[in-house]
Amino acid sequence: MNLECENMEISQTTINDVPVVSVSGRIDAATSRDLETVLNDLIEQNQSMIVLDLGGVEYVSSVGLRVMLAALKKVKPKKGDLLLVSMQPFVKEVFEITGFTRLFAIFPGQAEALLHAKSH
Amino acid sequence: MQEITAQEIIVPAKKDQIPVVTEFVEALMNSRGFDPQKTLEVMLAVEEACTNVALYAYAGKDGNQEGLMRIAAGIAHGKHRGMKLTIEDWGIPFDPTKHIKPISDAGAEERPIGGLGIHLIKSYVDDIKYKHIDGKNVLTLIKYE
Repeated sequence: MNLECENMEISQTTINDVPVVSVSGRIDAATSRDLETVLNDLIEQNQSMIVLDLGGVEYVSSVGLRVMLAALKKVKPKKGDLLLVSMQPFVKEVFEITGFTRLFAIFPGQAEALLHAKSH
Repeated sequence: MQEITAQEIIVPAKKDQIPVVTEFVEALMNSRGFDPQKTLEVMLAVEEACTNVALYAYAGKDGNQEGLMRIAAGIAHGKHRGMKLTIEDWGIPFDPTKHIKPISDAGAEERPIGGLGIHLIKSYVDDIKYKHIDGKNVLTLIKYE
């Protein structure tokens, strides 16, 4: 599935039964709703272990952070997790400044996250 | 500090207008040769300030649901070159500089969703000033090169 808007693109695939959502562009006040929709749809389909690949994301604002935190809060009680991978430096810095690095499991790439998901 | 007001933009105070504002800031900073990293930082600070306006400034203000926000961006010249941004709205008086709280240590389940925007603004600009003048909230952000 592909979802495109002006400043952001979301694609979705499944690897070893784990949904992998790849985002590129900017997760901002206007685009974050699309990411929220994709994550909520997966959670409603009883997916609780989700990989979110941020490799193509150059910019994230607090609205985007809230969408990720809201998804994390929904999957945690189901023994799931939202695994973040391939963060670019500015996105990583925003996570550090807001203390979000402590809340999320962050991996260098999809392979490491999928390995973690398998062992979970 | 000598200041040249370069450009301004007036948009409805709505979340979907925020990319219009950040792209305005980005185009200006790119055209003036600012470092791309500093440009992203200023865009983020401006987005956070405008998000607050879009979410709260006109909430419940009778007859003014279609409020506006004005963003003026100028290059400040002086000892250091920098960007000066002024974000104005005509909504409920609100001083965001009074609401800077330390980041919560709570885990994901207890972590409140909110309060991050002002923290990011403070982290990414060198100076923040708020005034309420002539019925307007006026937030000034300065970022040096």
